Amino acid sequence: MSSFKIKLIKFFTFIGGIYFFLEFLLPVEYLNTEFGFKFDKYHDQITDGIRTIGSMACGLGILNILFVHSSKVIFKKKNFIYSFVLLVSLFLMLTISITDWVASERYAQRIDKFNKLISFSNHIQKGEIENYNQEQRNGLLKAEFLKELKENQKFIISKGTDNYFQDIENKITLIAPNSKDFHTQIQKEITELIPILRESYNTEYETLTIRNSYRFLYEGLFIALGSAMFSLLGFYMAVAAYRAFKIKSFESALMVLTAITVMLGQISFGEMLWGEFKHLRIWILSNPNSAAFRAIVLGAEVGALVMAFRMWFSIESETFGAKK
Amino acid sequence: MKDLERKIIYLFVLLALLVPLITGLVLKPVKMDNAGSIYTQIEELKFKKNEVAFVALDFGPNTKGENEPQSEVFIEHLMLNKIPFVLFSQYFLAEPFLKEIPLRVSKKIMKLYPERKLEYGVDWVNLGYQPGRTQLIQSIPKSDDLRKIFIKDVRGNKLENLPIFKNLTNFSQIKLLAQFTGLTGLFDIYVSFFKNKEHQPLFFHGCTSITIPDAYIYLDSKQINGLFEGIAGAAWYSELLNIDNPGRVPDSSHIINTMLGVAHLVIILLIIFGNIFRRKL
Repeated sequence: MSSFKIKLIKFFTFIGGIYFFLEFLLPVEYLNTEFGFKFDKYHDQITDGIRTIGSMACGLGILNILFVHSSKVIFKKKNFIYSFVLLVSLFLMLTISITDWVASERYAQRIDKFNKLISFSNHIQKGEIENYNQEQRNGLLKAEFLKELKENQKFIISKGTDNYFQDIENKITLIAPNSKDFHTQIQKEITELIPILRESYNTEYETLTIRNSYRFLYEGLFIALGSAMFSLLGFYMAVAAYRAFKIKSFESALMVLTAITVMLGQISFGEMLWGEFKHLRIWILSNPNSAAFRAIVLGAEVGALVMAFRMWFSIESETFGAKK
Repeated sequence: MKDLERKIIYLFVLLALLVPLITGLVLKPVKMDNAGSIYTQIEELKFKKNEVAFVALDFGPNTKGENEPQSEVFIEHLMLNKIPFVLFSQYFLAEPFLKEIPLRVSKKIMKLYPERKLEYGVDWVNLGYQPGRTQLIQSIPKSDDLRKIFIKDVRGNKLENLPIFKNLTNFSQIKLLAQFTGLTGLFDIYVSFFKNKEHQPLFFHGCTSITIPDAYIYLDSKQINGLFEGIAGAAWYSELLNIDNPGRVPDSSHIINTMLGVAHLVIILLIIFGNIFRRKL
């Protein structure tokens, strides 16, 4: 990496560091008066920026996987079949996830149309629509509502009843655009309709083939495999308990006794044996354990602080462009 | 010989886990004061209009065994007490849990109490996976309008169109935070940053049995107001829900707690046998 690029990265690292340092540590009143403007005025935007950069790591990861594994597949290197499976899984999951997301967005947009009608009604009431007279505007709103209602007929019927759709349609048709409470009535009807539609859309969305495929891959396969991997630990721990938990000194005896007490304090069998195990467990966790853990955490945090300073001033080992 | 020993131990553990599952053996859980304290606080809490609870399900399939029953009983309690809540996660693998748990619990409650109507958007909202970790949690207490941070829910609805978020803008309207995780590093972020000068929500934490020692230091310093200690905490909470709601359909916490109880007993016995028979090795 060229020296200019390294300097640029170091410069932005320092600027980023100093912003968060000041923003977090200095009292708000100092930030507002000393600098003459609200220092954290754009904090939300900066946070969004950081989250966006974080999301880019995802794209970087995908590119990396593509480069590494596609070359293995193309040149048929050793164990290339695993790389092939990985790439197929990646594309399959990506396609299904994106299609699933598009489907959910489509339903959300339908709901949004009804919310926009409420917003349109508010604008008319406030006199913010300049064209047409009041009656014409109300007529437009009513016509739009009826149009949306018809388009969503099957969803309303599926959740409510056939009569419910007819009733609501008749009710809206009967609302006169020149009546005093036109907007109150329209808004009331839309507000009552939205939850029904939301549930109905959701029911249909959950039965889509794409949704079922996603659920099969993610919940049926991925989650189950993840749980299975972790549950294996339980078996290893049992073997380790048998083989490694040896009383060879006073300290190891203390450790074994503590472990057994804490376990017995948490299980029903412990209470059956002696009711005081649970109190003993709490005492161990609240006193010796807390003291030891605080020391560990304090030490680790001091280390993290030093590390943060090193990264801030870019004096951590040369990540970019290490000297050859 | 070593291999045979290992296989026998595996068999013991498998049996320990299977026997309660097959026979349906359920033992009364141990009274867990820290979980009980959460229950009491929820019962005593008075939520004003437009106040909500934030529930972070920061767990995936790896700690689902303990974190899922914890979050399930807690969400059930919130729903029973008509406390609206907002779900989100900082862990991308939590997505199915964010969706399934409230749906499952709401159906269960509506079956037990047919007169109660629980509705998405009114009683709960799912914000889905939220990236950003520290920056995200720091920005919540500082925000003038929470809807600007999260913008849409997981279904793509704009937050201002959802009844819960209609008048929910300020951090001070978040009355409590409950976070469930078995991952190190995620919990501390909330302890450090989910508060501001004017307001600090009640903070309940659900951890796995392995991370209990880590969580205790915050309990002792009152930085968290209650703790679900592994599956035992969830089972005791479920027991309390059973007492207050006769006829309630039991959740999975009791059976998992019994299974793990038997497995713990097997491990204790293995430690003892290991010390007696393998002393010379």
